[in-house]
Amino acid sequence: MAASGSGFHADPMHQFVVQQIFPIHIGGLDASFTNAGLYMVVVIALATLFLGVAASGRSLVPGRWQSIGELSYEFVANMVRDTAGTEGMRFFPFVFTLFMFILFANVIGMVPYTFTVTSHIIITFALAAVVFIGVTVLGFIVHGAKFLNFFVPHGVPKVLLPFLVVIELISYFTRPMSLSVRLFANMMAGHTMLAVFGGFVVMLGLLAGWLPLLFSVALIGLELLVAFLQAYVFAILTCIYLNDALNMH
Amino acid sequence: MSNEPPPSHPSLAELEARLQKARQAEQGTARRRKDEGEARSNAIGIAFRLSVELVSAVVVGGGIGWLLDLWLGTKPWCLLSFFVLGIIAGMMNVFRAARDLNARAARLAQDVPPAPADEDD
Repeated sequence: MAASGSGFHADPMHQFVVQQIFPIHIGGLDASFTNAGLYMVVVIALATLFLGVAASGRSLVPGRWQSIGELSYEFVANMVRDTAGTEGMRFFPFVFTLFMFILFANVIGMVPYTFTVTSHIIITFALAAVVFIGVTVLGFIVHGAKFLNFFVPHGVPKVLLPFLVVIELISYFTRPMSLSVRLFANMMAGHTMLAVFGGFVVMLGLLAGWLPLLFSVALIGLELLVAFLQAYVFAILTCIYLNDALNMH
Repeated sequence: MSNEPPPSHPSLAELEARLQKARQAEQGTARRRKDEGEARSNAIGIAFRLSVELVSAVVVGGGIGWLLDLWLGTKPWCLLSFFVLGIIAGMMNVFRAARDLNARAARLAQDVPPAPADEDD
């Protein structure tokens, strides 16, 4: 939010611009290393570092870092066990990785001047697509062709059946969409709002700037909550989908 | 805060027993506190979840219809009918999500007897 150069220019969307850091071209493909890529590397490095530090002590009475590590482990483990059952615990590493990645991406995005990886729909969609395709394949592996029964509701008149199967199919294909849009929209809306109110502070100056400043402080608190909540929602919906694939209700 | 000095080398069994005791004492209040906090902070999340569920079903339905139109060359008809089907699927999604949330809330309320009953149906 710099008011540098010729007067003040607040562009709340500027923070979402993807910039090249160094160009890489493979064939006709633009695989350049961008700030989005950089922050994904940062997210993974910090999450790995955090869990490495947390797991390095291995003391019986945990210290601070180990406590946080154990807390996050148990939080996700309970979530998987509660929603997908003990059978679903096979997929705990996947869900935990997903949860930590999204949580770290969201929280790191709260640091000023950083880039929020999860505020781009292509990234959240990629995550959701992995979940969606993985769960669908899993359903077919576990149940074989019987998994198609998932789309046939029980106890309905024969006349309505084709109609309802189409609706069930649409409802199923909605999953990656709602999963990705929810995370992306929350992050993008929150960060835009933060930038807009930050811009107000600069615009109004000392005279009335403290009012949007107060609002900004409250908003940052809310955004931290949303950062955690959205990681949680993404992880728990993954568990619910896993449960559907494993147990078919 | 207890004044008794902790044993210098607590055995694993002793430690486990102490942990168990502390957990039991903590559990009731902690869980109730967590429920209340969760209920309040989740309200935004729930509202957002339901609305996204509805909208995305309509978009996906419309998208499928549009693609079918491109493929079959039946210009507006697939789009129109799948749009309507998308709306229906969206309502079904919202209904299911709300039902699951209700079931979850009911299960939590059963776990902790003194929890406030805030569900009116």
